[in-house]
Amino acid sequence: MSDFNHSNHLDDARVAARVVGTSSLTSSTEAMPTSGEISRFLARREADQDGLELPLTLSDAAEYTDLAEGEVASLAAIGAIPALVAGEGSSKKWMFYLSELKLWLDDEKENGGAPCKVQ
Amino acid sequence: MNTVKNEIGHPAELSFGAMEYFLLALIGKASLTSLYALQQRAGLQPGGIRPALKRLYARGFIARAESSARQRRDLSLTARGLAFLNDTWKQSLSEYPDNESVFRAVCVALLMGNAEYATLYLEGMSVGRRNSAQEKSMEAERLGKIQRDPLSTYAWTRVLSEARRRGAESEALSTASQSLKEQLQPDVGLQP
Repeated sequence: MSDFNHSNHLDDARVAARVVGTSSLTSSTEAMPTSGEISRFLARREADQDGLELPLTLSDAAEYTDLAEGEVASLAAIGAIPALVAGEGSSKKWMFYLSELKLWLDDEKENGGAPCKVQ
Repeated sequence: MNTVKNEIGHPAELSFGAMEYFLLALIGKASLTSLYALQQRAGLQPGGIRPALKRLYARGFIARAESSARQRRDLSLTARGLAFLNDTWKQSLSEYPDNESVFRAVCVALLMGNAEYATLYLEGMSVGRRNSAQEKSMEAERLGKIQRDPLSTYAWTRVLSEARRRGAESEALSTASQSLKEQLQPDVGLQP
């Protein structure tokens, strides 16, 4: 499993790098962050500081669980991974909570890696 | 003294659409904290919102504070619920087949202080409805040319009615968007 940390996962780190002007994670040709990206980054940082957990995206969950995005989505769709789906139609998005993914992975280890149905 | 009850579960799949976001915004941003207030101010029937409230409880996004004095259970957003709303409310601006859900999503955007998003969303939904109304109109025209036996007449009337309905909905959404846009414009008459 990758060493995943919600507070500095890749998307936020990229935005942060662009906000503060460091270039280790971003190329010089990359566009400046939008005001939406900046406010989202600041909101997430504030939530982290307040100890509040914000939902992760599908790609974050895939990175954390070391699974392909499609596999995570399939497992979520059959209820094997705790998730919620927000929105409808083409803007439908899977969301995950890190604490729930941690519990799920712990259960996975205990059950020998077999997918566990979340009650 | 109030005690807060929270029923956090681990549901397999929870769908959060216009109604769930609408309830979060009404409770957290418009201070409608009782079923009575939700019914009176937002026209939401307790029976109709029960499944959505259940989903919000299960996720730990809302809680009930029991007031012993008045035997009333006030609804409140948990810190987790508020963080979720603030972080993901734009997901409520999805494509919905019914205008009611669209208007709920618009209300969420307005309660989140983003009238510009609300206007653009209404405009987008209006265009979407107009396009699908045109498609249905073409289908109705095609079906209208078919010989009129009872079943083909039935199919034609349904498609024709659907085309008209979507056209009318598009008009309503466009008018609402225009009206909201005008409200956002600074009053030019007052400018020097």
